[in-house]
Order: sequence, then C-alpha cells, then structure tokens
Amino acid sequence: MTDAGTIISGYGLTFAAVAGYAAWVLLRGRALGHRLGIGQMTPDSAPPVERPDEGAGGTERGPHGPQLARTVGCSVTGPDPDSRTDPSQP
Amino acid sequence: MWRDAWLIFRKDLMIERRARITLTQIVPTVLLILVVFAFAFDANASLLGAGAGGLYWVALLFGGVLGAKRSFDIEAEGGNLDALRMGGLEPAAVLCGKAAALAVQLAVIGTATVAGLLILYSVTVDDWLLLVVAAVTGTAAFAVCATLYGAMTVGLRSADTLLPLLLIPVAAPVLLAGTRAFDVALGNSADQGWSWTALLAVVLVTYIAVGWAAAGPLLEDA
Amino acid sequence: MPATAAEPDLRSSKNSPSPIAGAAMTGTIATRVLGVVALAAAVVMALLALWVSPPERVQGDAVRFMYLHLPSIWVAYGAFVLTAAASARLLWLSRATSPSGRAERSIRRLDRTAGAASELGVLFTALTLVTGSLWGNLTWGTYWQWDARLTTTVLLFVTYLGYLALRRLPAEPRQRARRAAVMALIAVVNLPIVHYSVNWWRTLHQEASLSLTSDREITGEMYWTLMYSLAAVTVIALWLGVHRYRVLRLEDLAEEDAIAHLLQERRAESADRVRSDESAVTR
Repeated sequence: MTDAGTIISGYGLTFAAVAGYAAWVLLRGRALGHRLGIGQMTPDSAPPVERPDEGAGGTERGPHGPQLARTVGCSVTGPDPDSRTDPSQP
Repeated sequence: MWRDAWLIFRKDLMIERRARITLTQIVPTVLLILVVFAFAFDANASLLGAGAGGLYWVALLFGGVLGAKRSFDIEAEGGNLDALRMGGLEPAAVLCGKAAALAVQLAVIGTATVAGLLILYSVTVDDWLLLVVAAVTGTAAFAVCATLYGAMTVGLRSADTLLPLLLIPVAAPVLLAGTRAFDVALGNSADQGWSWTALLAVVLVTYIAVGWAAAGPLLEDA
Repeated sequence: MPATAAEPDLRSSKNSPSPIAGAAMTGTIATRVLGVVALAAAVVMALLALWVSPPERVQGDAVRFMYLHLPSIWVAYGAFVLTAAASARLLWLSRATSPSGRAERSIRRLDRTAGAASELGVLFTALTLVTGSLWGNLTWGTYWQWDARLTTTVLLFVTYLGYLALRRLPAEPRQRARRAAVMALIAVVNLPIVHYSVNWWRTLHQEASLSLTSDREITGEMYWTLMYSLAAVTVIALWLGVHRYRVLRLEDLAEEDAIAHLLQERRAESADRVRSDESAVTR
C-alpha cells in the first residue's frame, strides 16, 4: 500500500470505529428506553449527531416500540402494550 | 495485626501440609509445562536454553494462578471469610497472611522449576545472586498481586475462568521484568538485569500499598 | 393469568414522573450541542490533518498519523485517570458500613463514571495501537516493535479488557462496584510505567513528542494542528462518555426493573396458587 493509502485507511478506520461505538451507545440507549417503557421520542427530539442511523428507527417509533420490547424479551408491562400513549403515533 | 497475619499464614500452610495440593498437584503440573514446551520447540536444546528465563516465569505464572485459586477456594467453602471477619481479624492482616503463605508455596514451585530447567534444559547460571534476588522479589510481587485478585474474584461463579484473564495482564510487568532479569542471570543477554530487578521491587511495593488500602473494601462483604 | 395481577402497579410507576423520566433519552440540549460541536470538530480536524498541515521534513506525509495517535493516547490516559479517580473516591465513600442514601447515590454515580470512562479508555487505547502500528510501518518499516513503551501500552489495553470483563459479571451491585474500583486502582499502576518507560529504557520509540521544558521540535502549522486535534478528540470523547454514562444508568434501571418484574410475577403466581387451593377446598 502507498503512504497515502495507509494514512487514508488509518483515518478511515479510526473515524469508523468512533462512529460505530457512538451508534452502538445511542442505539443501546434507545433499546433500553423502550424496554423500560420510557424515552418515547418524537421525531424532532432525536439527537442531531445520530443522523446516519435515523432510518433505523428514528421516525417511525410507535409501531416498533412494543415489538422491540418483545424481542428483547423483557418487561412489556401488560397484556396490551400498544395501548401506551405514544406522542409520535398518528 | 502481625499476630493475625501470622495466624492466617500458619493456618494456610497447615492446610497445605495436610492436603499437599501444591506439592502433589501444582508442582507436577508446572514440570509438565516444561516438558510440553520441549515438544513445542522440538527439543531444540539451544532454543530451549535461550527461552529458559521466560519459561520459568510462564510456568510460575500458571502455577500461581492455580495456587491463588486454591488459596481462596479454601476460604469460600462454608463461609470461612465471614468467620474470619466475625473473629475480628483485620482484613489487611488476612490478605497479608494469605499472600505470605502463597509466596512460600510459589517459592517451592519456583525451586522445582529451576531444578527442572537445570536438568531438563541443561542451562547454566552465570549470576546466582541476581537469579535469587530477582526470583524472590518477583515471586513476592506476584503472590501479593495474585492474593488481591483471588480476593477480588472469590465467590464469583465464573472465578475459574476470570482469574487468569485478570491476573495474567496485571502480572505481566512481573513476567516481563523477571524474564529479562533471568535472561541476564542465565547469561542469555547483556541487558541490565539489576534495573529489571529494581522494577520488580517497585511493582512489589506498589502492590503492597494498594493491597493495604484495598483489603477492607475487598473483604468486607466478600 | 398471572400478568394481570402485576399490571396496574407497574404501569402506574411507568407513567408517573419518576426519576426514570429524567433518563428518558441519552441526549439533552447540552449534549446535542456538544454532539454538533464534536461532529464539526471531527470534520475540521480531518481537513487540517490531511490537507492543510504540511508534510514533515524527514517523515513526509507519515507525520499525519501523529494527529490521530497522540490525541488517542491522551484521551485514553485521561479516561483511565478518571476511572482511577472515580474508583478511589468510590472506595473512600464506601468506608462506612451503612452509607447514607446520598453517599449511596454518589457511589452508584462514581461506579457508572468509572464504567463509562474505562470503556472509552479501552477504545482509544485500541485506536492508539492501530494508528501507532500503521505509523510505525511507514517510518520504521514494521508494524510492531517489542520495545518497552509499545509493550506496556498493549498490556494496559488487555488489563482494562479484564477490568471490563470483571464489570460485566453478575454480582451484587455494591460488591461489584467495590471490586471493580480496587481493580481500577491496581490497573492504574500501569499508567506511570507506560509513560516513563520510554525514559527508563530508551529504545527505538521516539521521545515523548510534547514537552513543556525542552524546545519543541514540532512548530508552526503542525503544532497548531496537533493542539487542535487534541482539543477536538477530547470533545468527541466527552460526548461519547456522557452518553455512555447515561446508557449505563439505563442499564441499572433495566436491571432493577427486571428484578421488580420477576418479583411481581412470583407474587402473582403464589397468589394464584393460593386462590386455586382455596377453590379446591370449597369444591
């Protein structure tokens, strides 16, 4: 590899690692929020820096929430979790 | 304090004298490591001789992990640690006594390993004084460290697998410095053997200081 | 159905503005601003480091790795120092056999601080090692040198991997916090060894690049790019750390929640059993 290639890949690797960690932290925060039945975010309250993963569930939060909680296999609070109020639901 | 430590020290060694776990199980295991390494290096005498200093510390490291595990297994059974605490023994004294007992057992393992190296690997010793001082300092440092980590993992369900993972990286300075010092003592390198031994001493003093401060929180609700 | 008995109670606790509500998201206005700043700083840093700053006289373009390598190890050192400081304070506060509620809360906060900081430290130590070996390959012609400084850095890295493993183990939270704190204090012993090893055993590795006393060899645009990178990476790490701290808080809450849920299930189950026993008797 040329010098420039090594330098570019070094920078790419570093920035990707930090961005990946950031995405993991933010997504884990969201998943835990769902699991606890808190942190139901309206689309415009999403932290701005996580724009890259917005498509992964930023805007259409409502329908995904209970499902996510179910797949994580934890405290869905009652027999009908969909009845919880969710500001982002139409 | 010193009386308490002496009591624990004697208790641990008495248990070892009755059970002979170190002598009949750990020492043979360590000698086995020397034999297995000969397989790895295809019994190449010059290679084995060159790596002898490092092999000593690797063998001692694995023996020490087993010893530390054993040292706290006997306390985990039947809530022994609780009993010691109820008995009014100082936590620092308990750790001190256990570390001293472990150091004695490690010294036995170390002596057997040196004998094994002299016979099996036909190494020659250039500087006995450096060898002995480095071995004693390194063994003591490692014993203190292993005792601390044994206390840290006592009662955890996965202590068996966790202890080596925690202990080996932290004990690595001992391993590194001990190996360099041994290489000089065995005439395999012209490094500054005494500087590395000094590093061993620094590590020993540091571990003692940390252990002193940490004994209370470690043993309080172990 | 056992779940119905548990339902109303849990639900009311969910909807009330409990302390949980404060941790609803891991972002607040302050951290969102910090996040934007961090993102912008990263972009500017890439421009400065890769384009604006000049190549070095001897090393050429390879010197650009310096702007990644030094800030990474700087942040890693800082994170480990923070871990150690939080751990020391935690141990100091937990001297009392039964700490007050306030001390108890500080202990949990300190434990989370240590957890978040150590994870960042491990990440940035890994980045230091990767960028360092790429840099080394360009200037020394080899990815790895077994010299004292590199070796102790890799040891630092695995030590804190072990620390993270200890933190992950299920245990009583107070006990886990204390044991982790003790380990953090032992592990921090490695920090000065890493830092001064280059002076103790002078080998291939170049002397510490930044020094307050001697004349600095890095000057002009390179110097300012380095200073800027240090600041930028610090801001990025701060932002990451704050979010990680909050996620750790959520993890704690989730753990409590799961335990409470299990308890309620058990209770409902036994109530169910009592009821069916009663009906069997009346029948």
